[in-house]
Amino acid sequence: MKLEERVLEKLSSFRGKWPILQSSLRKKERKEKVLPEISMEDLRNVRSIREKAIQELEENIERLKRVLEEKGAELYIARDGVEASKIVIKICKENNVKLIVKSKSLTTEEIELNKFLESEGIEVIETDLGERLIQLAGQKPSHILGPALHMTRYEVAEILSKYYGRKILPDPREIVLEVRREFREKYQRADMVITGANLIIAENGAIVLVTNEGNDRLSLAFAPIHVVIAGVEKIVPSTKDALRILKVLCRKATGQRLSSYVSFNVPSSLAYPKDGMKKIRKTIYILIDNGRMNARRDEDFREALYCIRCASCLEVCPPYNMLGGHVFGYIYSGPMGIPWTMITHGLKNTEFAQLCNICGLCKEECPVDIDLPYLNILVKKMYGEAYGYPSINRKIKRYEKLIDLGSKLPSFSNTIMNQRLFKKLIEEYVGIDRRISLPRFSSKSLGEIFKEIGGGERGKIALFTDSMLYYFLPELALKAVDILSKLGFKIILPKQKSSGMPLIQNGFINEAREVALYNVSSLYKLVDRGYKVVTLEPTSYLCISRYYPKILQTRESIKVSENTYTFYSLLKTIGWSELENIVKKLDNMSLIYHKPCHTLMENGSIPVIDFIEKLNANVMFRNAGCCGLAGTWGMKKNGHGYDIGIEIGKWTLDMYEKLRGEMIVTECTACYIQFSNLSKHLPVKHVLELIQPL
Amino acid sequence: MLENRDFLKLFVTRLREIDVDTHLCKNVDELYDNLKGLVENVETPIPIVGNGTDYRRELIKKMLKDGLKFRIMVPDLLEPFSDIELSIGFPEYGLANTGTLVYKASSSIEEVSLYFPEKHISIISKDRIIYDLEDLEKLSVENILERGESLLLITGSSSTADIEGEIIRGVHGPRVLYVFVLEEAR
Ligand code: SF4
Ligand code: SF4
Repeated sequence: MKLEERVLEKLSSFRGKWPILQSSLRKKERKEKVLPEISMEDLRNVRSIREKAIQELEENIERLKRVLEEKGAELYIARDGVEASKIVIKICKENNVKLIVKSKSLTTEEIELNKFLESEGIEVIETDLGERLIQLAGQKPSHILGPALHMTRYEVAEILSKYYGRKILPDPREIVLEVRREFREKYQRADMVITGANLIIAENGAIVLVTNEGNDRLSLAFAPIHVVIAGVEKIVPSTKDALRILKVLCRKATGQRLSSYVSFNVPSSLAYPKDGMKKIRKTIYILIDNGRMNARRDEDFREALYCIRCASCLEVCPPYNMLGGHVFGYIYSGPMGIPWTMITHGLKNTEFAQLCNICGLCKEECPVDIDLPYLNILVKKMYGEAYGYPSINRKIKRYEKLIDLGSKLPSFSNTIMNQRLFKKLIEEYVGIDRRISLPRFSSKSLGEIFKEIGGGERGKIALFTDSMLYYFLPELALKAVDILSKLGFKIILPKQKSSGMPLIQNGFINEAREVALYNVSSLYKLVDRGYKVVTLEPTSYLCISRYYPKILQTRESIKVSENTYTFYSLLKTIGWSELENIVKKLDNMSLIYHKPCHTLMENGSIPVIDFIEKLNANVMFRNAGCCGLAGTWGMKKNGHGYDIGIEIGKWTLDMYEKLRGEMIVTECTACYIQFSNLSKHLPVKHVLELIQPL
Repeated sequence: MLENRDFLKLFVTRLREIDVDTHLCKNVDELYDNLKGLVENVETPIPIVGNGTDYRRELIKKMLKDGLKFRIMVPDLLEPFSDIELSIGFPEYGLANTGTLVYKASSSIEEVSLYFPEKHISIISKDRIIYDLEDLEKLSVENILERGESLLLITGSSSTADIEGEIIRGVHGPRVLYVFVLEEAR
């Protein structure tokens, strides 16, 4: 089945239930209390521990090897899954292993170990409940921590009824009791236990296991042979490093201060004496490369190896929440699943990266600050170059041209734009879903009505807008210009192209580079003469400040980025007091602020919120995520974007409606248009619309 | 950073937040009175593991003297485990900020005792309560690992959220966890 068809199928089977989203929302609620306990310093610590661990990986492997030798444990480095599986099978044969219990299995899922073992007639029991359920159902995990999150209690009961050969009621308590009973017997009979590891400590060889069920402990307690299978990147130098990571990992993963069971296991511990004899458990470590060492050599993808598997990125990813990991994933799923699939399973399995809309929420949420959106852009680029860019993406590239063309004859464009035949045509040639209502062109673009303004005693500003404000809502841009000029700035509108986000978003990096180069050359000359660049759209700011330096890697792009501000962050640097003499106050309104996904936090705060509060409004802030449009992504026809985006938008709106505010406000024109189209009850305004000059 | 005397309060709060049945006891006599009800009708042997403290000795002495109807098990000579209902443990430390019980284990006999039964009771005196994970760092827990012992951090009972995100207790390890905190410093 094609990706688009799988999307539509999943949307229709999840509709009304949204199991993945519900679970993410529940987790988000649980986390609210404990996340403030993680300081910036804690996060910096984790990042630097991970950076250093990967930097010094070879030394750490050597150190671990020496320590394990001293403790009588074996260590293998397996090039890939096949090699690792062969080692495990050899150990099984040598020790006459018939039954294996497993826990913390994601890495063994990666290498599909169970298939190999079962083909040798070895019984394998996954002991994590979620893992066990997908094992019995013959499925892949849909979430890196909750592999069976997509299943309802009814599906679970059906799977278990079939397996036990008797009726199991769809009652989670009953189900858990049944499983508990079965596992107890299995633990005691197991000949071998295979575990993964959350971390491996080089200085003493301990593996750190984090679970809530306790299955790892019981699996380990009885089996006389323990095989640890983990990615080679899991090694950290010291116990101290592990403790620091745990503080962040548990809170981010489940909203617990510590998970129920965290253990540090050293190879020399004794196994339970089944036959009355105390035995040192035989411990064998198999560390898997499977693409990791290649990634480590890559300047960009090395960052993916810093991942501590907290799954926070999955919980905030709008399309993943709608679709789950069977569509938005391969074995690794969600945002981190894109680079990780490329690293471990090759580019050919990364088609699902097209479902990422580069909203950037995953980066904001990641405790290690991995630039997942950028890695995902790179994956799209590499996939396009290797297997051809999806035709829908080649079509949507024409969007900017369509806007340019339409703006030449605005009244004609407005007349035909929402006619059925025209919509069909643009669906065919530009890939925009025919159900989209396109915004109306302004009779004059910003370029046509803008005049240089302001004395400049406070400074000089080069205004950078994007096509939305430029062609559709130029009068809003002028409101910002008015404030800036009253504050004493001189404002000019330099030569500029639209920021190029649709190109970046779809991995057309070479073409995006041309746009970036054009804009940077135009802005650099001005920055060099003392101008500040001020953007009015979050997406423009994101492109100039984050993506242009990445894709151009020039001194000029860095300098432009350093001198670029959003309209609101510039006002914040001035202080708010002067604003009072320029704009009218609002009447204590209660506004629901929608934070556009491209709006970046600045030192933990959002200047737009400060701005709205200075206008005397109460801000009801709900960081709900995404409007579903994400630039042009949500315009792409059917399952390529539109159908997912609409569901995301409706969910977000639904949440806002429950807040009982007077209206939704946002500073992103795309979000503003999306909510205006979707909202039936709540009025929607652009933040700039709130500005009334005194 | 909190003063040492506040750790006890925080420890108890955190334990209660994660549904651990927590009891504060002024001395061993009070502890024993509270504990009696839980152990007296347990029909299966009760393994006792963990730290060899004086209050552990005192408590066991009391239990034996009282002739309560229960059997203490020396975990080294374990009988088959399938029918164990309850275990008692004496952790090395408690972590106040997370409500964690820190055990060390040199063999999985201890582990089986801690994790296999349906119910588990941990007993700890207040002077063993430290603030947080970072303090484990200061206490050089890496030495425990160097010596070849495992370190087990237990924070609440066994739970799963794998079915529709609903939290259900007791999927593998103990369903109910009791903690008795001895307010006397030992
Ligand atoms: S950028 Fe947005 S859509 Fe893409 S993976 Fe991250 S959260 Fe998901
Ligand atoms: S990429 Fe970041 S947020 Fe996602 S699982 Fe890894 S550490 Fe967590």
